[in-house]
Amino acid sequence: MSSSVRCGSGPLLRRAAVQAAVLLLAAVVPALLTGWLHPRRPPLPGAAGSIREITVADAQALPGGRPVIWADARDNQAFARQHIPGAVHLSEAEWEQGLAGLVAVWRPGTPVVVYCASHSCDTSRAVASRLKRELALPDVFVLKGGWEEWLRRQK
Amino acid sequence: MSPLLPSSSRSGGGRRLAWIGLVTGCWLACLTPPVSAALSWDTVAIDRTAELGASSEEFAFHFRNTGSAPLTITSVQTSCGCTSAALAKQVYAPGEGGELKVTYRFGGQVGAQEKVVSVTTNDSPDHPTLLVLRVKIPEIFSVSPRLLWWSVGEVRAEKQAAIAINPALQAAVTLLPPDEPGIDARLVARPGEHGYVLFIQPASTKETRRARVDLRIEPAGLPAQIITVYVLVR
Amino acid sequence: MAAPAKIVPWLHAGLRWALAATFLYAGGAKVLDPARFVADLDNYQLVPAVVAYLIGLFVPWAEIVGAAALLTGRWRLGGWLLTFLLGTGFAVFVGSAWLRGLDISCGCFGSGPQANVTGWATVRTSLFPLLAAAGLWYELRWGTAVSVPTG
Repeated sequence: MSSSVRCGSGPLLRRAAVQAAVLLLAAVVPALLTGWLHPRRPPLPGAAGSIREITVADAQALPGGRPVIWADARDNQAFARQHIPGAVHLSEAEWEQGLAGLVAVWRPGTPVVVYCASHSCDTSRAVASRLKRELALPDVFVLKGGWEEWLRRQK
Repeated sequence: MSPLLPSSSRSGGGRRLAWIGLVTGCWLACLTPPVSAALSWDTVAIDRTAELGASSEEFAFHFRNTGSAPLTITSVQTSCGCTSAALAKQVYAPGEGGELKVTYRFGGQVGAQEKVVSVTTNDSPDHPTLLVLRVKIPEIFSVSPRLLWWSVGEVRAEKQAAIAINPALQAAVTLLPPDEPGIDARLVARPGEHGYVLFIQPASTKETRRARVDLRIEPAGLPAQIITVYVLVR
Repeated sequence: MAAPAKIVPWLHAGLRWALAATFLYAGGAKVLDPARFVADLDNYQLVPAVVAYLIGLFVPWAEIVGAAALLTGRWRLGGWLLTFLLGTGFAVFVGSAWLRGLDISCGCFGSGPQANVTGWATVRTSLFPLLAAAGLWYELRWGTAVSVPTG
């Protein structure tokens, strides 16, 4: 009866690592095809342009003590129920009205921070992109965590 | 020798195979989530290019209750106030089909847009189905930037906004008088570039000032639109 | 060191089959709905959106490839290591979410109904890398994938 002798674990472990790397490479092509062709493919991240995120703490403590203009991108009902004090309502559904309201309070050098409901909503990014594109404002941010995060910070 | 089995499989194979099958079966039974999703959709993503000048678009998502019990659609939520969804009813019998109509009002949005509708049913309350609308909205015209501003005391140089018209359209652009005095505005056509340039200059930058300059844009065959360019001295 | 008892190779084979089946199912379910998986990853708030996007596209296929490798003779070692790495990654995500008190869906099995992130879900998810590590260790010590006959 033959018996088998194991090679040292070192070379075997190296072999496992090489095999794992090759297997990972094999997954790259189907992954790329999924991102390109799958009917339920995820949207490309950052498709709304390079809008930076800012936390509640950072927005409230900008260099030079600059105040910010809060822009609420949620729907009418949500804004009417409660919003960040002094916020301007700027939703895509009532864009021209909101834009006029924002321009009325904007001063040169004032950053605008757009927020929507929570971390997972995308509306603030879309509104911030559109604002940046149409008014060419230099300092437009989205609030990380949105209204939910603001509320959490007030507690 | 099969790579699936250990090398000592030559004898007593039947009992051992049964043992492996039992272990694997128990494992899978513990891990496999119960299959209970009963709402089956024809498609969960619709891609479309909107017609030039359209202000909204309607989409229909067809579904069927493929389960063995009546299914209730408990909530339908849209990702944006610009989309609304309508269902004929909420409860569907086994085998019954239905349609979710989604209306997307563009409201001035342009370019590649993606909106999501989240549908929750009683049999899967923690895991809604996400329906995706991917719409390319052609731009009729663009005015950029729509805010021209000077600081108080700044040299009152002329500043400009570019108006670009979709090359597939002809449009007449008219400059309306500013709503405040002391703002000089002139519109210059750039036929080679299928657009215009709006030049604006305040009469003075010694004090704060706020004005609106409106442009009337009339694309051929489409409703006229008024677009505002804001002028600030702050 | 003495050879293991006769039952152990069968336990090892059973573990291999079970892990392969689990990762095949998990990967397959996620491949059916990649948008949902990326959204679930985003909810963990652990990595930037770009990274979540890349992980969401890549990991399901890595799971399928790793599971298939486990069922072969030649690529079994790589399969064990890959399932260990993937299992560890998931355990880190789920564990961090549980520690931060996030009330989110695990995302472990794609669009199917599944548990939210809880202490028990963390323990269960942590079992996978442990079992894969055990399987890899056995394979390296006594496995037949690359044994060299003598005599």
